[in-house]
Amino acid sequence: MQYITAQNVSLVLFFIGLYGVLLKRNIIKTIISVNVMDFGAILFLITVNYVPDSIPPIGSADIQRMADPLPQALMITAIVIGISVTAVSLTIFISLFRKHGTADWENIIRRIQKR
Amino acid sequence: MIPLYLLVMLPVFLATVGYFTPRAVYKHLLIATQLVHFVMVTLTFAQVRDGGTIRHYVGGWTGGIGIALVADTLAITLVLLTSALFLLLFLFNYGKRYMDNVFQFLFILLQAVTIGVFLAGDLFHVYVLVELGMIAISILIMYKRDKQAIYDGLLYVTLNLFGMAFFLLGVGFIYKSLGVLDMSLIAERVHLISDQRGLALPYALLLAAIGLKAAILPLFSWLPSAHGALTAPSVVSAVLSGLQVKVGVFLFLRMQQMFSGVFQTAPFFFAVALLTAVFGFSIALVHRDVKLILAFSTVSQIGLIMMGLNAGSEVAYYGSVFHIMNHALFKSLLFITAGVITHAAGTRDITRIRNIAPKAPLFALATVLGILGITGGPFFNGSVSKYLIQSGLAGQPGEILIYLVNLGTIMVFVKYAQMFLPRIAAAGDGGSSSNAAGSITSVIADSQARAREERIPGRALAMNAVALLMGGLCVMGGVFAAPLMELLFGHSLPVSGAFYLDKTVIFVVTLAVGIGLYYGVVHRLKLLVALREYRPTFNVICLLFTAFFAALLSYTYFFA
Repeated sequence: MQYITAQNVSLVLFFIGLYGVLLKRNIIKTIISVNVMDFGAILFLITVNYVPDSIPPIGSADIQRMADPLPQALMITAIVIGISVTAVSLTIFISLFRKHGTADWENIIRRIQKR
Repeated sequence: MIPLYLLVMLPVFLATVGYFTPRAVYKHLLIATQLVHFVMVTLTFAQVRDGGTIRHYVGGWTGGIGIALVADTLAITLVLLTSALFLLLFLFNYGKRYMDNVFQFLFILLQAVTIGVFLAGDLFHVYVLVELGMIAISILIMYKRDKQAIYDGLLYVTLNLFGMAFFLLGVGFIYKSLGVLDMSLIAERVHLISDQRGLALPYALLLAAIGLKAAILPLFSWLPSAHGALTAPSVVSAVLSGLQVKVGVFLFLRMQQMFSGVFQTAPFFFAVALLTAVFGFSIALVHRDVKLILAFSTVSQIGLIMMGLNAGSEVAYYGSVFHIMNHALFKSLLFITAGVITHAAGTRDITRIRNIAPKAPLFALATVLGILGITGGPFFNGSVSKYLIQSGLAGQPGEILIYLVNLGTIMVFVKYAQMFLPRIAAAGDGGSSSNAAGSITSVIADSQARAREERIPGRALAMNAVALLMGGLCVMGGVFAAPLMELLFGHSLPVSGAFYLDKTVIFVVTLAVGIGLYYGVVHRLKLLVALREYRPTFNVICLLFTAFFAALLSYTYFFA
């Protein structure tokens, strides 16, 4: 059990995402996999300086016991960015799918070259 | 003194405020904004030049917590370049049909993001701005909603999202081992780490993502499809090729500065850069689409710049930075003139565009100036920067490699200059691609018909004036190279009459060899045509990226 730490989990997530990006030809799966990678990285950063029993960095209660606020502040930005970029790529995918009728990277290339 | 954040925020702020004004008002508002912005950047530049690096912490947080903006000589020079280029392109685009408010807003957002990256002082800030820029770029690429352009846009977004996930993980590892994200603090603290091998992982993660941005060897596949996207507006191609790749090169420089005392990866990157340069011009030689030729030539020039940066000599470094600026100038000039020329010719196939000079005389002149710039013609800016890179490598085998790359560039543009030849009977292998050319022609004819419907006054004047001005800047950059280098970098350049004579002789010889080789050998080589047809799929590109990351990681861990 001692290997199941947040950091190891986040690295495993990152590599699961990498597997999906490298080996899946479906565009939707690609977008999902890239997101899994992104969230792996985000989880890694959130837990980077985590000390057990620390309290949320709100107010001025007990500064010694507070968790490191910087990664949390940064990662909420990263999550928002991740969502917007995913939204953009899904939007592009929808119009691509309407024009080509396929969700497969290889088929799309073949169709573009055939023109 | 002008606060640094205004340089980033002012264009976006005014563009947002004026967004709901009518198109005619918005256009002039943005051009006025660009003028003001250019003046502000120039003032800041003068200040940095006299008083040294300016640091600004947004919101008053100091000590590596707040967002830092740093304007050192390199950064402010590139900001000046960005501001000038965007001003020129806005003027060039004065009468374009697609210049509606959305397009202009995204274009100005791209400018702000680019400037933001150049001024960024911490890694996370870079991450945010690069992702934001990516959204703006992908929409700009697809602006004309063509089938192929949508594919290019999607490829660009997913690939960059993939790369930036690596970057973010790298940021995480940096924060874990050093506890800061501010670049100057990182540079101080890396020396305090006892186990520096442990930094190889974050270093490789960051550099692989930046390599993707800079489009070096195995990672350049996205570039031609994004920059040469068949129907992307030519100003977008100009900005992407002229500036956006330089963001990658600039970040590469920043990383190398940060880890300067820890990892010596210059040999690795020199080899990669050389391969990039050779591959870039080889593929440019086989393509027949004007925009793709220019896009692959960008890959080759990036290789040249990276060779100079990794040569390990100060002179070559200055040469590379100067070449970054020169390349931005002449490559955007070539892209915008190519847009007009293909429009006038009705095709993008270089073997079918002929006798362009009488059709668009001023643009033909500007194109000649751009070609002379990029091939390093005597008295042009390209010759000076290439000479500097080469003299930094003097006496080493690398010097010959620079000649090789320059010969390749000249061959590419000998091919490109076909468009000036008088009309001849189209010979050779026209049959295979007539289908593709036909569809391109119909696209262009369609857009021509639409353009004719709405004539906008001042359009031709603005386009001609901007193209000639940029061509003029290419010449000025060469003729006034010495004072320019002194002004920008405080580096005195040894220039005399004999220098120019020497360069002229070398240029003429290389040009002759280039013409001979192109029409004698390369023109007839069927072998390379297979390269033209090959388009790697997304998975293959990602596999190459991962392989590059693994190679960089093992090199850094074991040898650097």
